[in-house]
Amino acid sequence: MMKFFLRISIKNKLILIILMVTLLAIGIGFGFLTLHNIRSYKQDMVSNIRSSIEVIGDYCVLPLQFLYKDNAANELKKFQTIPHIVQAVLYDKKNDVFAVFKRGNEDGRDTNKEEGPACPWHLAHPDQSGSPGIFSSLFKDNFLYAHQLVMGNGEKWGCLCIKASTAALRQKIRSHLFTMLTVVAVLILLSYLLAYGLQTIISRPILELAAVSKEISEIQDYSVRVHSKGTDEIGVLYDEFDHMLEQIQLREMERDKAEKKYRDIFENAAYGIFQLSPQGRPLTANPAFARILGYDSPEEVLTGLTNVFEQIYVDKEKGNEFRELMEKSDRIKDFEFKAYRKDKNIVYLSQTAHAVADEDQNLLYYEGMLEDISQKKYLEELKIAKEAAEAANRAKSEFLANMSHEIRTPMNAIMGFSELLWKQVENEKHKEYLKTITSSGQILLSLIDDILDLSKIEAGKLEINYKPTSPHAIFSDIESIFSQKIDQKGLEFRLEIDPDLPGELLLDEVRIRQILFNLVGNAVKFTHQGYIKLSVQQSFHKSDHSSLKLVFTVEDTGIGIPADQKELIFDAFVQQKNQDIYQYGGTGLGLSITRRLVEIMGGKISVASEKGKGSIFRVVFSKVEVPSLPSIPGLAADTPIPGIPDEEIESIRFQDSLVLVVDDVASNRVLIKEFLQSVNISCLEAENGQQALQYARQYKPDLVIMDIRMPVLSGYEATAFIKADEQMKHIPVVMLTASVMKEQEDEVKQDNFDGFLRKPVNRIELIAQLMRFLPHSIRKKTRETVETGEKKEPETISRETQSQLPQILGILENRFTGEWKRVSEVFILDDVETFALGIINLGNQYRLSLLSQWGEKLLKEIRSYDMENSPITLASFPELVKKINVLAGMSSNLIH
Amino acid sequence: MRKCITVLVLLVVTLLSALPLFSIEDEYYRKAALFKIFSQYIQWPKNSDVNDRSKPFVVGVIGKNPFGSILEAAYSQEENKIKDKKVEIRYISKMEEIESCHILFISKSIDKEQELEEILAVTRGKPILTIGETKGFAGKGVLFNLFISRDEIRFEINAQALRESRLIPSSQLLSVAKIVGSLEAP
Repeated sequence: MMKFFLRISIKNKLILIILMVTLLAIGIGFGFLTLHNIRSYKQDMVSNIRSSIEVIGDYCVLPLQFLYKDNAANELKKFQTIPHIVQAVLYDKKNDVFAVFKRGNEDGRDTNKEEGPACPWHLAHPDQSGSPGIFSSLFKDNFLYAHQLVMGNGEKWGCLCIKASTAALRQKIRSHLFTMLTVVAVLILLSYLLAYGLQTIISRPILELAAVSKEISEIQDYSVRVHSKGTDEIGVLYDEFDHMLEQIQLREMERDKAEKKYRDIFENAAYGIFQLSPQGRPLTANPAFARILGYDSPEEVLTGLTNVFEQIYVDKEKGNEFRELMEKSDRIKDFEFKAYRKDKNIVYLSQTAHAVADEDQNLLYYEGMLEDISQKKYLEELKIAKEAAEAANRAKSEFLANMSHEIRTPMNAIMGFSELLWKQVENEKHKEYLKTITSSGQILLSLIDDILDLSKIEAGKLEINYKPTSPHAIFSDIESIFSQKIDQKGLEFRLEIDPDLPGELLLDEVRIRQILFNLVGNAVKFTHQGYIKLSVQQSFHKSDHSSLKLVFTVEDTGIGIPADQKELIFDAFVQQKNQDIYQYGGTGLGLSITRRLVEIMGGKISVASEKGKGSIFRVVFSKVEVPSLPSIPGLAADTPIPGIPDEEIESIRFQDSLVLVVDDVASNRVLIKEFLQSVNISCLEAENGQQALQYARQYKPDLVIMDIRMPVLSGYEATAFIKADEQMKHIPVVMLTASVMKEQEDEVKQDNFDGFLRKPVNRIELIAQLMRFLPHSIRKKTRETVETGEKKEPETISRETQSQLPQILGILENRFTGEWKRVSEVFILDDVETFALGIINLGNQYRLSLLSQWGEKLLKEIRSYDMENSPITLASFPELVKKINVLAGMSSNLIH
Repeated sequence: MRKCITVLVLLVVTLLSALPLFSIEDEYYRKAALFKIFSQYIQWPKNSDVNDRSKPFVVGVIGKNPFGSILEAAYSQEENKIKDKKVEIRYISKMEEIESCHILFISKSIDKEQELEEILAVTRGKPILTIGETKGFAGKGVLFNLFISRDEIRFEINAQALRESRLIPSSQLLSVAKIVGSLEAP
């Protein structure tokens, strides 16, 4: 029943409740009312007849007393007038029927055969005593029975039993009931109507609320509000409903925000995020995941991938390992493995994941992220390879450096002794041999230098030394160096120098020389006809001319370079394909070194060439600085004094000095010793640092020349000791090293060395160092004049001439150097004469006595058939040019 | 013989049927009871000593006592009071005794008119309920006269005498009695 009650609508429930209550009330009310009425009707009936019965009963006393039955009957006849009474029976004292009245039956005489009802009381109480009161009534079987005791003077004479019909009563009751029911029905109807109408007060707000709730649930619009209409419980309900909606809305918004945030992270993550079933089927994947595995979209992943352990893992064992690890520890981090992409390419992936289980520890799924570490791996491999390469490179460089030391040391000997020998040998043939030895040695040295340069460059250890440099000097050098070869090959050498080119520029002379030497050398090598042109252009950057753009061009009409090899030629060890190695030789290092040098110095090198048509190499330095202060050569401590010709050196005289030479290699010591002796310096030799200390303490030399790498005690340590010793610390120590690293220079400065010399020791460099520390005087050597004993004019140069030096040099380079080469090779007296005359003219023209005097000397020797001196003189032409260069550099600086 | 017996039986039956159904003893029991019953329906005058409870109710029997000891048996008990008074039974032998009676029962042995008259002379106008049992006595002036009719002891009332006696009967009593004379006063 309760279920039914719950199933019907609120409206009906309310109506039903009201009706039920009404019904109950009405029912109870009317029920009681009816009962009451019925009772009252009954009572009325009873009371109505009671008085009659009593009265008649009274009148029956006498008949009973006198035993006058007829009289009694007559009395009973009076019941005729009492409505409803159908029978009255008078009983005497002994409860025998005395008289009877029956309505409709006039015969009142009683006989014993009377079939009338026995008095219920008499039935109930057979004994005569015990009676239910004087008057009693009983409704039974549609009749009302009344029993009246007939008393006279306190004495019971008999009783009167009345039977009355209740038909009327019943009718009355019936009609009463009918009325009642009608009224009840009407009331119920009224109450139904009222209930129907009034229930809306309760139900409507509830139904509205229910409707709104449903709508909200369906539409999912939580911004709706219901707005309370009252302050009763329904109003409160509405308020709380609104409140709840607010909260839902808020939470929805926050949830949306959070979801968006995490969705953004998920969608935009750089790492792949995934959920995987235990069988390896992807349950969730983000775009990054798809991308990593080469799929177009997460949807494609979910449909295309069914088992990552089969389809993705390249090594199935890795898949198994993954699962085992998961089982063991529930999570893995940075699990690396190879994976197949959709296109079957292989990538390296790193996976971090954990297992998600339910309450019973059953595996639900794996969850984690993927990272494509192919790049990383690749980079790692690269790094390893790079480190290996670098290590190899370093090893190579070290090897080379060591090698260079090993090679240079004997080279030192060869070169040095050759030089010494050259001075002492008279025989021409021997001189020739020596020349060959020397030049070969030079070649070897330059080769070593090249290799070392390359290794330095590769190791990144090449340093550029910017110093004020005379470009003109470089050019003339190059011209003179190559003039012979050029003449030999019948080529023309053109030199084009920008007239505005400053006399000095901030350049690394050595490297520029190298570059130009290489380029011109190549040009010479690969040109068999035509010309070779070296030109230099410049353009100032700023109006104050503090820096300029410098362009060197080396042009030739040689064999040219095919287009496809224009880049290759710059590669180390690569020569032009099909280049005849025998014809051309070379190690192929030159151009690669050249390019690197150019690049290190911030320049660019390019080539324009066509096979068979020649080449143009172009080197551009976009910013070359013009030094603002004139530099005075010779004061830079660590460079040899350039350009001081032999004769000048010859004129340097040292005071009596003692020099301690320390080197474990005897030949090195001997060499230096010879050099020293040539300038009258006494020499002490020591084999190692320990000996050096000993001697130094003992003899207190004026200078120590200390090699570094020595047994027992190294140069560093020995020098340290010397400098620490109170009595020795004043002695200058010059480092002697085969190492070519510039670091050594720094160490020299930091450490205790006062200078350094590179091996193989150059005489001039040695003397330069000596000049630094030992007192000396430069005595102008009186030239060995020829018999004429001409007085040498002092070499003074006028200002005018000074400024024209570049031009002079240019002419010398362009014209005379080539000629000189030619003439030197094939020593034809006439040609030499012509040459000399040319020089004299030039010298006179520009009033450069240096030139003219030299020229005259040569002329004189030639004309006097002095075959001994003339070649020497002729051979000293380059030095002459050099000297002029120096003068030009010096003076140009002085001018500027 | 048989015929005779039959006739005899018939006679007895007839006689018996004419006879009252109740026995003689019954009769006088009933008559005795009547004294009390009658008293219930009669009011003695105010000044009568009937109203005095301390005094007994005197029932006199004149003539030959037909009751035997019935009267004593009926009224000797404490509860058998008449008018709530103790009942005294007097058997009248002297006229002077009559006046003190409240009820005087004149037995049927008094059959002479003279005798009757003597009695009535005494009772006349006095609140003495005279009750006779002889036919025609009511006409002669006895207040109540009992007679048997169809097994019932009925009575006739001399209205005049009753009036004169100043005894007041209830209407109901009158309604069941045979009234001799007129109830209405002349």
